[in-house]
Amino acid sequence: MAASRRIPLALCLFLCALALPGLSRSEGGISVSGAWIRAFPPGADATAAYMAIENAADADDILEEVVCGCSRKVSIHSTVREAGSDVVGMKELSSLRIPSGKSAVLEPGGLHLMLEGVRDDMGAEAVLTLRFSKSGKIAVTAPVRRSAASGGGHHGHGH
Amino acid sequence: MKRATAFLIPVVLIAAAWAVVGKFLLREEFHGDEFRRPAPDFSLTDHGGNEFRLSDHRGEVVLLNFGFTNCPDVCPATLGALGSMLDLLGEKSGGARVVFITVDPERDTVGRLGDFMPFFHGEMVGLTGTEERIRETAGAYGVFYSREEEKSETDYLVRHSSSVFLIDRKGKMILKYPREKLDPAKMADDVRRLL
Repeated sequence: MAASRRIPLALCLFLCALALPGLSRSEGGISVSGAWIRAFPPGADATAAYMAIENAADADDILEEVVCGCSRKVSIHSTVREAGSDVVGMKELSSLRIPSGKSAVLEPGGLHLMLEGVRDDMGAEAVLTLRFSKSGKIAVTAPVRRSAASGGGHHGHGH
Repeated sequence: MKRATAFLIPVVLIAAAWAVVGKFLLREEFHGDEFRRPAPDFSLTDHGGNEFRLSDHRGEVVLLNFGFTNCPDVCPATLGALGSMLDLLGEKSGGARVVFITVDPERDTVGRLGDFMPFFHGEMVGLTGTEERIRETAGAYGVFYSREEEKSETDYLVRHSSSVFLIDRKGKMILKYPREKLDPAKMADDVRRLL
């Protein structure tokens, strides 16, 4: 009797854990945390998404594709600074390897997901679906923010 | 009593000397990289469609940077930092002018900059112009740019210099901030020093 009462509680806790924003875990050992999308001006075409991807599995995994209903296209990019100058450019990566036991940190000025053809009506958050070669698909809910540190816009006019 | 006084005198003297030396040294300490030379004048069109000539803004501290609106990572971060800096300056922000010059005049029209600039701060100015004028202006500042990842005539990115230039009220360049030194509080400090 007592045991049967605990099952719904455990189930509830499990479902609650799944719903934690910004934190998604797959059975394959990949977990994604701290995801966010850079807020963009009205009429903008492109923005970026950032997150940390951890691979706790025994084998390397590869991020092969990302899709989002919030934009026409998502690609993996790296901002690179040319040696000895302040010139920055972007390099598109066809995939991103996450070595076993390591994390890939996507952050401003470095690795990021480039969202092109972004929808003006994106709202406060969007779901990015990441497809890995071993772990399969992982859905990540990313809030839309002005910067990594602060929350919503404090001098924006919204749209 | 006597012993306490004897002990206090050197302490007070050292503290006073330290305060004088510290104040003198700190006054000259800016947070960007020293970059002293005259700021080349230019005339471009602002995001309201009016002429903007740098030399008309003597008496203001100008923070100048180059970029493009389709830039997903670097430019919004730079403008975000400059917007926060204006917020930190509060009432004094009237004496500072943040100017963003596009290196992609083909797509960055007056209308597009008009949508883009107020998102970062109501007081920021976005400038565009003919391809030739932009190339001239960027060249005068030693700013490099070129298209990359050109997938089509309208779908491309632009490699570009990412530094911010700080120009004093007399029209002289004082500092250049590389990307890693774009700290809103420190930039606000430098601007206050020049106001």
